[in-house]
Amino acid sequence: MLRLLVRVYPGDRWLLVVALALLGAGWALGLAWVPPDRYQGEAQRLMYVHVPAAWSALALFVLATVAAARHLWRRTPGSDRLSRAAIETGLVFGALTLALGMVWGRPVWGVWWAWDPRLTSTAILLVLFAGVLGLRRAIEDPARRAVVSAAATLLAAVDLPIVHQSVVWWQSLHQRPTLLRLGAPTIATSMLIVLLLNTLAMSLLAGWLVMRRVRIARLEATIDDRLLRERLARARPLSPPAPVRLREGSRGV
Amino acid sequence: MLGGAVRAVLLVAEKDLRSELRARSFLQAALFFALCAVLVFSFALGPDRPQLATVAPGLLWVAASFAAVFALGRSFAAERDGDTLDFLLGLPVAREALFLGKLLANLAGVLMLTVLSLVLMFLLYGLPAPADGGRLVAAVVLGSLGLSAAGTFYGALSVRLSVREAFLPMLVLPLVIPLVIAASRATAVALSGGQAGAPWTGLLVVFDGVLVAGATALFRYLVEG
Repeated sequence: MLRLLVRVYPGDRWLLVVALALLGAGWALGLAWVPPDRYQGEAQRLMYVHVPAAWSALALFVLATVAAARHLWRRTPGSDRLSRAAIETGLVFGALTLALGMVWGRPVWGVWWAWDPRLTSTAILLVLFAGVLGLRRAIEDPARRAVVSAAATLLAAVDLPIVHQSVVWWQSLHQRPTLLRLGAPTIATSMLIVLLLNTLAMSLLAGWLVMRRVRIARLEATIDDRLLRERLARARPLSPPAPVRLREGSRGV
Repeated sequence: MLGGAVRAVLLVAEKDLRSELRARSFLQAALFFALCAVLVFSFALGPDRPQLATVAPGLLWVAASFAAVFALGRSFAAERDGDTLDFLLGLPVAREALFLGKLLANLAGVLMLTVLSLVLMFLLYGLPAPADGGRLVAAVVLGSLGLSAAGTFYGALSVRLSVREAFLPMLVLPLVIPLVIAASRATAVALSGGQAGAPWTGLLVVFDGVLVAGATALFRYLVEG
């Protein structure tokens, strides 16, 4: 029965196939077809992964926040699972964004980490949502965990614009790195096409991962439920009281 | 209606402050923490007074935010230990009023700690007389308010759960990063009288507004059930 439950869900497979095909095409075009940037050279090609990953992470955190708000409003278990799945996937894409940003920053800026406002606020964003995920792990009761972590998610989300503004002002006190802004101020049409294609592919992949994560969470809940019920069934040593036996021969009352 | 809510806020705050004053535990702990923090910073950085004076605003808010995280993480624990939490929640008072009352009492504690640290820094680090007293008061009060809001929220979050308190800094400190930035800058500007570079006091006001409103609105979800 359990094997039947965790059987691979076939319904979303087409989404993965499309996402991977587009991603393959996008990467091939980004590596081979588009010319390298005039100033940044080959390092600029990282943009075709970095920007889609950043966009996906941002979209996932917005999704997680909306799902958390919905959970506080409607209390459906599905919205809690969606919020959790979006945060987990968003952290993966966010970490990818930061890692790629650092790899790009080393040749272009000359340093791994420049305390650039966007970099800094992305790092704070990740720490905030990683905290929410850690909080989930610390709470046993599922219903309570869902409500409390939804509240924490919302508070983290309203904090984010302030984090960004504070970091922008904070950083402006220091010397700016001589940065060549990505996509500034115009971008060649071929670059834009490849960037959009990669963004679409990465978004589809993110969507597939979230769907898969939600499904796994749903199965986990089912299994927990089933295990609990089985344990309850086994832990019933109190058999119903035996009927009072009256003396032999007696016909009862 | 509104008058009743305000009265409830003040009553909750008064209750907390009175029990703090009777126990005197917080006052002593705050004084001791402030003294230790100020001393430890000077040992770590060397006895160079001008240098200490330069970094004092940052140190002040580092000390205040860590103290707030650890002290306020327990701000609802006394209610739980005294079995008064359910009574408090059972009162015919809006949850928002309960939270604001707690926040007010905690603000008094954090404010005391911040002021004590600042006074000690004036004495031991040789800080100059503040160039802009009004701005310094605003920075201290607004910074303490934001820290209290975040700390009280997570104190309420942890009280009914088996969340380890060592875990709270991971949640609170990233949240108050903008506050630490803005309060440190505002304090530095108030002390030196230089150019602000950015409207830090305004940022503190926005942070406090958003965090107090958000935490007050979300508090009901933390203690339900």
